[in-house]
Amino acid sequence: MAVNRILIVEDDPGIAEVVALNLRYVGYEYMIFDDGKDAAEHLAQDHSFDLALLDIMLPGMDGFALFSCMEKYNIPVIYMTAKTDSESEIRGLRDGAEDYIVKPFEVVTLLVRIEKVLARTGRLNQVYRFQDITLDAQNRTVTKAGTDVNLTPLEFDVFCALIKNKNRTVSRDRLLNEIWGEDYFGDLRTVDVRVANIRKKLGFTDEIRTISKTGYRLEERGK
Amino acid sequence: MKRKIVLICSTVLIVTVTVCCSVLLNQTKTAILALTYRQAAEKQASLRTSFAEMCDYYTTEGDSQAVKRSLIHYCFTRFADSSAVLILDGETVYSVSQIKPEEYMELDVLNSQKQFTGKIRDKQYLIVGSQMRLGALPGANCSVYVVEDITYVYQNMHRMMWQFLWISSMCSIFGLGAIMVLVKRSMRPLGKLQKAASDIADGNYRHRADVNSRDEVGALAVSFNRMAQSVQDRVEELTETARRQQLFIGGVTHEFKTPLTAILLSADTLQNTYMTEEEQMDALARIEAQGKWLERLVQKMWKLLTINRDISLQTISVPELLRRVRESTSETLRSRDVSLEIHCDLQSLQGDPDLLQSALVNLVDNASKASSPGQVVQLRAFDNVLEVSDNGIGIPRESLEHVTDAFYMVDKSRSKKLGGAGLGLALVKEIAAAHGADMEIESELGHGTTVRIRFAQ
Repeated sequence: MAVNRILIVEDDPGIAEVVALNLRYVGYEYMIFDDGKDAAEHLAQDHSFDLALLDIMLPGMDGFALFSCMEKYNIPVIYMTAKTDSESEIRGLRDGAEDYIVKPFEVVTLLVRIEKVLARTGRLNQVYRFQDITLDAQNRTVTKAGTDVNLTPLEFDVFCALIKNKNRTVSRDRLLNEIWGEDYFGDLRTVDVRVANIRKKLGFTDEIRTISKTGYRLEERGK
Repeated sequence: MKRKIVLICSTVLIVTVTVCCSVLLNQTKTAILALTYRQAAEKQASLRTSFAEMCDYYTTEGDSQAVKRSLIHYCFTRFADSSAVLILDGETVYSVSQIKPEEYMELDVLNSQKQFTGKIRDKQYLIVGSQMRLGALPGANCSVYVVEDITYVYQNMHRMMWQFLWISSMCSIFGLGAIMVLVKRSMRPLGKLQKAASDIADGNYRHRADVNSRDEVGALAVSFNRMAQSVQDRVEELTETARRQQLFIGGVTHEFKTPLTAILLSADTLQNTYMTEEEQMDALARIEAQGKWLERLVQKMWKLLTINRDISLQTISVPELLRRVRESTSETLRSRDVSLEIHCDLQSLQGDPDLLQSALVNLVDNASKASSPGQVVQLRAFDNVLEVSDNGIGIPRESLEHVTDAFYMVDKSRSKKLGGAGLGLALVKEIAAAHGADMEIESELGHGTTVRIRFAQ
C-alpha cells in the first residue's frame, strides 16, 4: 500500500513547519498551503490525499468553506484550530469533519488522531518500513530483507508501536497500557524484556534507542 | 379603562335624560292641570255672571216665585252645558251629569270659588263651584257648579309619560351606542401604542407607533416614538460595542495561541523525537523567534490597553517630534529601501509627546511596509493636522472601516512576514481619541494611503 499523503492548510508557518516535521518523521508524505484558495485550486488537479489537516481562520478561503472541496474529493478532514468556541466545533463536526483539535495540542495527540481517522476510513497504510525491515500490521508479519522474522505476538505489538511512531519516543507506560491493557499490574520490565528480544531477533544494535526514564525510540539515521 | 368610561358616561347620560324627562314631565303635568283648572274656573265664573245678569234682566218685582223660578231655570239653560249644575235652596234645578257636586264640597263663603278634583266612579272629575246671591231671589241660597270630566287630561298625561319614556330610552340607547363607539375609537390609538410598546419589548426595536391625531394621545405617541428611537440607538450601540469586544477577545486569543502552539509543538518535538543537529537548531531558533514575537505582541497589547484618557498634555515642539520619529524609524526604512520626507509647517501642539511619537512611528512603519523599495513616505505637520502618506499598496474599500479593529490585517500573511500583528492602527486610533483628535484614513487600492490625525481647534 502507498505511503499516506496528508494535506496541511495552515497559515502560520511556525506551526505548519513543526507539524510537517513530525509527519515526516513518522513516515507520512505531506503538502503545505497557507492560503485556502491556493489549496482549493491545487486540489482541482491533484487530489490524491488520504487526509486533510485544516486550520479554520485562513486567508483566501476559510476552513469551513474548504470543507466542501474536501468532501468533493472524498478527503477526510481534521480541523486544527485555535477557535475553542463550541459553536465552531459543533459546526465543524456537523459539516462532516472526522475530528476537531484545538490549539495548542500535543504532537502525540495529533499523530494518534491522524492514525485513527486513517484507520477508520480504511486508508491507513498498514505496511511500515524501516531500513530493510517490513512490518505488515494487517497480516501481522515482519520480514527482514525478504525473510520472515518470527516474533511472538507481544513482541510484534511492541515493535509495531515502535515502528508506527518511528523517530518518536514511545513511553513504557504507553506500551504497557496499549498492549497489555490498563489493568495489568505487572512490571515495566516486561516491556524491557520484549524490546531486548526484538533487538536480538532483528539484529539491531542501536536502532532502538533506550530513552532513560521514559521509553524507547526507533531511530532512522541518515534520512 | 374603556369599560369605566363607558359605564360612567352612560350612567351620567341615563340619569340626566331621566331627570330631565321627569322634570319636564312634571312641569308639563302641572301646567296642563293648572290650565285645566283655570279654564274650568273661568267657565264657572263666566257662567254664573252671565246667568245672573240675564236673571236680573228678565225678572221683575211683580213676578211670582214660580215664574221667577222658571225664568231662572230658563236663563241658566241659556248658558249651561253638560257640565253645569244649578242648585237653588238645596234643590238641584239643573244638572246633566249624575254627579252631585254638593256631596263633594261645602260652599260657605259667598262668591268664593272652590275647587275639587278627584276620582268619581273611575273617572277624574274637576268640580268648580261657588255660592252666589241672585238679584231676582235675594233670599235664596244659590250655588253654581261646573262638573268637568277631566279623565281625558289624565289620559293625555299618561300617554305623554309613555312617550317621554320611549324617547328617553331611545336617547339612552343611542347615546350608549355613540359613547361606546366614540370611546372605542378614542382608545384605539392607545391600543396601538400598547402593541408598539409590547413589540419593542420583544426586541423589534424598529417598530414605531402609527398615531397621527393632534390631541394628547398623538403627543404621547410622538414622545413614545422618540423614546423608541433612543432605545434602538442605544441597543445598536451596545450591540456594536459587544461585537467589537467579542472580536477583540477572539483576536487576542487567536494571536496568542498561534505562537504558543508553535513553541509548544517545537519543544515537544525536540524532547521526543530523533532529530539531526541541524533540525534541532532550527527548532530552537523557531522557539526563540516565536517567543520574541510573543513578547512584542504583549508589549503592543499592553500599550493599547493602558492608554488612559487622562494623559499628560504638554506643549510639544512639532519639529522636534518629527525629528524623533525619523530617528526611530530610520533603521526599518533603510532595511526596506524606503525614504522619509518631512514637511513641517506647524510649530507647536498640545499633547503627550511619547504617545504622539508612538502613533507617528506606527504610521510611518505601516506606510513603509505598504511601499515598494525606492518609494517615498511623506510625514507632514500643518494647521492642526499630523499626516503620513504613502504611494504603496493601498487598502481595499471593504476593509477601510475595519482597519482600526484590533488584530485586523488586510493581507495577513504579508503583514506577518513583515512583522505586523494588526494592532498598529488600533493603537493610533486610541492615541488620537485620548487627545480628543479625529483619525482620518484615505486610501485607494494600488495608489496609496494617507492617514491624518486632526486635533480639535
